[in-house]
Formats: sequence, C-alpha cells, structure tokens
Amino acid sequence: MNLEKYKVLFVDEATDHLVEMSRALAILEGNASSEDAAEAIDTLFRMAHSIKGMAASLDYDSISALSHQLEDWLEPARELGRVPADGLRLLFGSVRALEEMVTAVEESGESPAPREDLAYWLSQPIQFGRNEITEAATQMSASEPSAPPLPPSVRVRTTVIDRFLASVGEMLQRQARLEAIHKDAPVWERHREFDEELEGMTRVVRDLRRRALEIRTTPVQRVLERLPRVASELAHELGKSVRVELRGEEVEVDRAVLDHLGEPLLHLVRNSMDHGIEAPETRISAGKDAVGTIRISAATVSGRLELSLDDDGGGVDIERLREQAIESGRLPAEVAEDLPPDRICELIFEPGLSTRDEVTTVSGRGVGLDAVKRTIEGLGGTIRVSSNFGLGTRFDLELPSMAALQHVLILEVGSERIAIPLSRVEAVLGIDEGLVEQMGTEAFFVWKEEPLPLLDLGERVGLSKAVTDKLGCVVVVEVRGFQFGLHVDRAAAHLEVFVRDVPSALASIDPLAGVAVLPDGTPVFVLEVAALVEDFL
Amino acid sequence: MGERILIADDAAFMREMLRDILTEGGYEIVAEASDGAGAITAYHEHNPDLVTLDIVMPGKSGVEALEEIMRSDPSACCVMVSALGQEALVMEALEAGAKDFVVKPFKPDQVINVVKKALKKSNDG
Repeated sequence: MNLEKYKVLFVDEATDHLVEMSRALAILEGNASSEDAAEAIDTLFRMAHSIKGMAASLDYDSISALSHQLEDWLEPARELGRVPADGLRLLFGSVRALEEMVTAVEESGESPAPREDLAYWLSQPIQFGRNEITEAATQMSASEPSAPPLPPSVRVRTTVIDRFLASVGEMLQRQARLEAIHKDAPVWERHREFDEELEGMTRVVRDLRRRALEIRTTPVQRVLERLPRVASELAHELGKSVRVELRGEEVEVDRAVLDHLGEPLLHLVRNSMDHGIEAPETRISAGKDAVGTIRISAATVSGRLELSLDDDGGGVDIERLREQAIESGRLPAEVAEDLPPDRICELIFEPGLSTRDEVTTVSGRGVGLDAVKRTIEGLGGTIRVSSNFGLGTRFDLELPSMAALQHVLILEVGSERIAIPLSRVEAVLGIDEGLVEQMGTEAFFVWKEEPLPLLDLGERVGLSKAVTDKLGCVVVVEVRGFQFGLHVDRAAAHLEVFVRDVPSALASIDPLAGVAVLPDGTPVFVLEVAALVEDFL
Repeated sequence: MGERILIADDAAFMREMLRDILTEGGYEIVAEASDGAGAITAYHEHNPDLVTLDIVMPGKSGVEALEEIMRSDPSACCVMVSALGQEALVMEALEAGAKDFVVKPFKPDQVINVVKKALKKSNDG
C-alpha cells in the first residue's frame, strides 16, 4: 500500500471535513432553526464517522478513537436534533483537537498522542434537562428552502498542482530564452515563419500561465472561516462575548500564501480576544456594547492581498508601551520620547514587549506577535498596527496574492546577480543623482534633500567588497513605510520569474525569499527585502 | 478483464483505497459515486456486476440506496462497507438483499475475499 499517497489523501480530506464541521458548529452556535440545527448535527456526525474510517485505515489510533467517541456522543443529539449549550463547548474542543492531530499527521506522518481529557468528557452522556427534551420534541420544524448545490469541482492534490506549475514555470523560462536567442540573431538568419510561430506560441504560453495560476488559487474563506469559532471558543474561556464579522471571504489567493496564513491569523484573533476585547462589565462601563466586535476583511489590490483585522477592544496603551521600551533598555529615553505614537505602537511586534503585566494562558505575554511578523515578512508581505487607546486596535497585512510568479528586478553586484521583488522598488537612481554622506559607520544617500539610509548590498549579503564609491546605482526600496537605498553596481533587468522555495540546505540564510532561474538558465537568489530593514531598526 | 464494479463512498480516501485494492485484484472499476443518489444513477447507467456501498453517506444512506437498487434490480450484487458499531444497520442491509459486508478498517485480502464470495453467491443464485 502506498502509505504516503493515502496520508496525503487523508490530510486533504480530513481538513475539508473539519472545515465543514466548523461551519456546522457555527450554525449550531447561532440561532439556527431546528431544521438547520438537525442538519448541522448530522453533518458533524457524518464527518466524524468519515474521519474515523480513514484514520483507522492508516492506524492513526488516537484520531480514530477520538472521532469514534465524538460520533457516539453525537448519536443522541442527532436523534433529538439539538445539542445542549455545555455540549457545544465540548464539540468545539473536539474539533480543534482533531485539527491539531491532523496537522501533526501532516507534519510528522506519525499517529498523534491521544487526548485523555476529551476522551473523559466524551464518555459522559449528554445531559438534557427534562424541559429541554419536551421543548425539543414539541418544537415545530420550520420549512426552509434547502441550501443551493455546491459548484461542481474535483479534488486535486496540491503536490500535483505544484509539479504542474513548476513545469509551466520552466516552460515560460525556456520560451523566454527562445525569444531572446531569436531576437539576438542577425536579421538574415531569421526565418519569417519561425517568427510567426514563435509569436503564436508566446500567446499560448501566456494563456497557459494565466490558467495555471487560476488552478493554484483558492478563496481565503478556507482560512478565515474557522476564526469566528476560535474567537467564540476563547470568549467562553475568558468570560467575554464577541462577534466576528468576515468580509471578502471569496477573494482568491495563491494556496502557497494561504497555507501559511492560518497560524498568523489565528494568533491575531487570540491576541485580540486576550488583550483587546474587554470583559462585558468593562465594556458597558466604557459605554460600549457588551459584545465586542472583530472585523476581518480581505481584498486584492493591484495583485496584492490586503487583510485587516480590526477590533473594538481596549487598544494599545501607547504611553505604557513607551515607558516599557525605555525601562527594558530597548530604546534610549530621548529616542523613545520623540517617536510618534504609530512608531511606538509597532513595538508590540518586538519579542518580549507587552503592555500586559500578567501572563495569560491564551496568548502568553506578548509572545507571538514577533513570530506573526516574521511569518508575514517571510511570505514577502508586511504587517502594520494602529491603535486608539480605549477604542480598538487594527492590524493591516499586505501580501503577494501570487507567490509563484513574481516581477523582480535583477541587480548586479560585482559578477553576481541578485533579484528583489519589483513591488518593493520605489526608484532606481544613479549614484551621481544624489550625495553619499558617511556618518560614522552609517552611510546615507541624500536625494531631494532627504537622507536615505544606504546599504551596500554586496557587503550586506557577503558577496563582494563594497561597490566602487563613485559608480553604480541606488535602488530605493520601501518596507512598511520605511525607505532605504541599496547600493549596487547596476540594475540589470526587470523580469517575471517563477520563484521556487529556497532549497532546505540554504533555508537558514536570513534574507533569502526564494530561487528563480533566469531565461539564460542561471539561477538567481530572490532577496527578502523586508528582512534587510531590521538593519536600521 | 475481471468483473465490473461500482464504488459508492462519500470519502474520496475510501474510494481511492477500494479502487486500488480491487484493481490490484483484477477487477474493473466502472464508476464511483459519492452519495446514495449518485450510486443509484450510476448503477442504472453502468449496470455493474457488483456495487460496494458505504453505509453512512449524505442524502440517501447506503442502506436506502441498496433498497432502491434491489427494488429495480432484484439480482443486483451489493456489498456493504460499514464501520464498527453499525451492526444493526448491517443486519438491516443483509435483510434488504445485500450479499455481504466488510468492516472498516479493512485489509486488502478481506475486501477481495468478500467481493469474490459475493459474486459467486450472485452467480450461483
């Protein structure tokens, strides 16, 4: 038996099932009609049953045991068509545990550890009050039109798509190379029909590329839809009350981007629940609605994915954060006192800084926001925060919506070439268009009377010794509103390339975002520009 | 080419596993269905020698699909795929005309044996 193949199938299908279970739980949690509730319970039951069968076939005993217990526990609820409020919490916990277990399988391929705690609770029969039973029995079922059928679709493994896309990428590169050879050839060697055919092929290849990218995309709904459930689960734990509003779930983005967004978003929601949304009493005395609101919205703007998470909680205490930054020695007092509030606010992404003094079990003390930022920047994106003390906090994320194909600028440093994403580039200037000023060890490029911090790219990535002072050019890049210059020998070309993951042997090298193969067949590293900004902060 | 089989299961994972086991065993898979209604349609369309029916499926369950198939074709050869704890439903299916059943998780040999036996029973009867 090809275990690897079944493992992949299992992870894919179980993940889909768990998404459906989350959706069913959200229905049960809202004020569903008895018909919708019965259907949601039936879905939970069927999905648990299906996961059990798959897990048992692969000897993932802990998963099959938990889903089996869940199935048994749901049996009476299925007959009655409802779940008591206490039971809902147990269901939330079980679905979350199953999600974690499936993730563990995906990562390690091993059967995860069993969850004794849930096993105990699931072994307790559902407690229905007497009144609840009679109430349920006498409830009339509202007749509502059934849900529209799902759009026709087929299931394709992501590895298959990835291999396909890699081939399309290579084809694009070879095709571009062919065009280059043809263009470089002397006129008398050119063949008119070849010319026409090549042009036709270029069109087809472009079309193929567009279609290939369509396959690769998936709606952000996939990661957004579990967030309301996570939030209400945390609300239960923390004695708070929250409503999560989602917008733009239909926005389509690259799976490669989406696959890495789940954790950071989960963390931001946890962070909002823990540090943002206040207890109902606090909210009421502050003149707010007792129920907090978290708005999560997605949109694509000129090829980039924009996500925002906005809560109406307590906000960040900027002055307290400023004090902390000084106390912890992170910033000299004279610098901290001069920084505008939004720059201070960004300090919440620094490891170990938090405005909360006590450690909480939900998100720890400020742990994680630095990790969130690292993940987002690793994807070639940025994250910003803004906050109104007392009124709420907003995180704005901006990411490439297509990870695989990127427009890059090829830079030359000595005999080496390095690519940077074009979306980061603000301007390319000759070094003689401005003035280079040296202040101690730091260099600045004064352009339009603005001093831009200047980084010698060759030196920074250890490629070669500094660029010849009087020559070369300055590539002005912007990251999170912060501009700086990269000093290089030459900005050679602007290309659209297929960017692959960095080979694992090189993955630990800090500012590498990927590897691309240029039309002439030479590999080039794609630089993670966002990582360079740390040099200045 | 061996006998022609229709697989009905709502889990793509299980369909794939059954397909691999049965193809390996020399059978031909003529169609797959992911729910009870689909199984009935595919049965009439392909007229297979044998159907494997998962018991728990959305919409029409495997048992309901079985009943409907048996009503229209009393000579149909159906094998139920069940899980532990579904003994009552399995009994119900056997009474409704299922030739045999296999319990998840199954080993390839078990599936092949049950299918072989069911086809023999069907041909003898």
